[in-house]
Amino acid sequence: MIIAERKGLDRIIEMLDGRRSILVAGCRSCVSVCQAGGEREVVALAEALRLHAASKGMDRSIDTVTIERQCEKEWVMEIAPLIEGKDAILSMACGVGAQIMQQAFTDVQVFPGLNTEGMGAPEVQGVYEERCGGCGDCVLHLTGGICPVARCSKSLLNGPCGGSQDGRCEIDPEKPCAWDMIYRSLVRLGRPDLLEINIPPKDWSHSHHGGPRRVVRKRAVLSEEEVA
Amino acid sequence: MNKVVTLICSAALGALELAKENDIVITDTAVVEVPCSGRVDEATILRTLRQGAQAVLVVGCLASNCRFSTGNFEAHRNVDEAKRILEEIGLSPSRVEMVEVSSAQYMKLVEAMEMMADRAGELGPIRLLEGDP
Amino acid sequence: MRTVVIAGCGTEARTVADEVVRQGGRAVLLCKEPSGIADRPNGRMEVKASSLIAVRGAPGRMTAVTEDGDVECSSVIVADEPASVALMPWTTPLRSLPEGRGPRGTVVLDLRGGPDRRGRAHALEAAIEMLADGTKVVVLVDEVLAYGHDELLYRQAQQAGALFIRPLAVEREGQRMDVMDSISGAIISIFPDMVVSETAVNQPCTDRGSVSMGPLSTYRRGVLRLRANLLEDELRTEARAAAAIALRPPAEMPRPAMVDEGKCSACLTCVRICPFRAAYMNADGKARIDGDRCMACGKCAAACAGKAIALPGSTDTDLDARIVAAMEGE
Repeated sequence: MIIAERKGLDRIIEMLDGRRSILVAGCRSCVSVCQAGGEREVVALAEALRLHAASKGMDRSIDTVTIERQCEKEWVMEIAPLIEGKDAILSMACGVGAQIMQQAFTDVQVFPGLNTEGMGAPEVQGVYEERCGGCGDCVLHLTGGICPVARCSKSLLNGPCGGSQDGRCEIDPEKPCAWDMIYRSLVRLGRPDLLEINIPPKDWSHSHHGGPRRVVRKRAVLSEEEVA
Repeated sequence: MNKVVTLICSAALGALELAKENDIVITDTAVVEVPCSGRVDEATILRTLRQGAQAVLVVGCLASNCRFSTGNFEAHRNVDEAKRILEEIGLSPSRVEMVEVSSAQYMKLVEAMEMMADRAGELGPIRLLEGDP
Repeated sequence: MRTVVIAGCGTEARTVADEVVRQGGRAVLLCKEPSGIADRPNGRMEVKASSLIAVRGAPGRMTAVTEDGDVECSSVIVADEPASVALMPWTTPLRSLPEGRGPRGTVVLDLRGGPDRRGRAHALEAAIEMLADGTKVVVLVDEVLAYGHDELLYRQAQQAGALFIRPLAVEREGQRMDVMDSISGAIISIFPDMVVSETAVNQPCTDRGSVSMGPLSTYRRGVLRLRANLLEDELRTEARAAAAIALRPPAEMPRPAMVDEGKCSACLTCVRICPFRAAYMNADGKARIDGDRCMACGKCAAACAGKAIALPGSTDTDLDARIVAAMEGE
């Protein structure tokens, strides 16, 4: 899922300076699971903003809503009545949701309440780590299920660097060396031979290049008649 | 009058009863019972401050002696979160505190309540002292 | 007359069973090898050569699930040997590996704190098979039983290449496991691919509760657990207490917390944090609270990422109202 972290409240307060009527909008999807922008965080944040406003003698109204998925136009449009009279929307969704919100409500500025930190998974309750590098050219079958792009600090594709010590990364010794993990995983799978396959340099034209990537699922695209 | 709100779990309530039995008068704090201190989340604490409380004391069982096994861990996490939020919005985190008592430790409870009342006195109501004029 | 199911074979179980009968109840003793224990002629005690698999229901209307079928009862007393050692996180039970086969790489077999001889033999046989497959096996033991059939198995495992260590201390740090050998004091670093234990259990319902949760309590209302290794008079007192508690009119279960499925993000927070394992995912992939286990502490209501869980009587609205009322001097 997408993992994200709430911006510091001081930063959020700074961004919202001068705004008087704010809608805090959460999302029930990924950011709920990683406890960054779900209903619980939305409610707490709204309370914090109200408390701050009171302490400054500031006249400010804060409304809240949590949307099923903030990246889905239909769900976003459902909350249109709540935008009435607002001069700011604080989106507690990932960067995608925040953009869909701005696209839907062109007259009211959207502020991002979160910093999106990539695609990841919970290690344990409360700890979410990046797992997928989004390179668009997946080689997990060759690396025992461990992404060398996201989990190797140097995104190396063919084995560890010389700094791998005791299974730890020299860039951040708190982190395990991805290639150490890849080796162990392949041995567990009984496929150490896969290490001998040379993974060529990534074709980065599949990622972070030439604008946003686009995926077309022909099977799902509706024809004109169906849409009407 | 200083306004402290004490959110106390059903197990630690015994300590409050014991205090009353020992003729200790509890003033300056409003007491609200919760089933377990773990029921208290950060939003409840913040809402309480917004209702006019100047300090909030969360009372739970001693670690590893929670009547509901591990409820007090959740309470600690949420109290810490509330403190972090207060700091980030420019208010004093010492307005919120958690104390662990057994149902026999009435003095420890009373002392904690008095400590929070003192803090509320020093820090004052939120609107006046910590806001801009 | 209330029925109490007692799980166990030893003196503890029999003492409790007798006590239940003496206090006017009916005892059903679940014991795999009931040699020497007879059914009572007046039908007040029944012995079943079976073991307890699971428990369902709430006090007063419990079901003890055994290998030979269900037994309806008022409460359950567990009086067998518990899994004693606190296992390291991510320890896999041996029985969950296919055919007892381990992964390639390095496997640490943790036999500390029990199991009994039969379990130990089973574990060592599995180790020998793993070694034949080329897996590196390190066995952590408290004692090496060096007589009879046990000695043979140990010798076979050693000859197959297993490394036996009697640890003074075991510490895990990330991938690395540091084991301090009790004899030489040396610290051996291992990078296990898997840690396996014969005794890793997935039945936390019989774990002993904390002192504050009540005498002899476990995480499940209606299930009591006796302590092990009691002296005779201690056992008498404990058995008397257990029987008395088990035969009391059943405690009413509190109104459980409720999940609003529409708001549930299936984040698993409630499932992970419920002290009583009352929260689980239903067939539709949404959280649900088992009313037979929920003790209405409200932890899930506070922790729910989507504010989807409400505890009747302690909802946000209820709390706010009580707080405001208390602040206004009631």
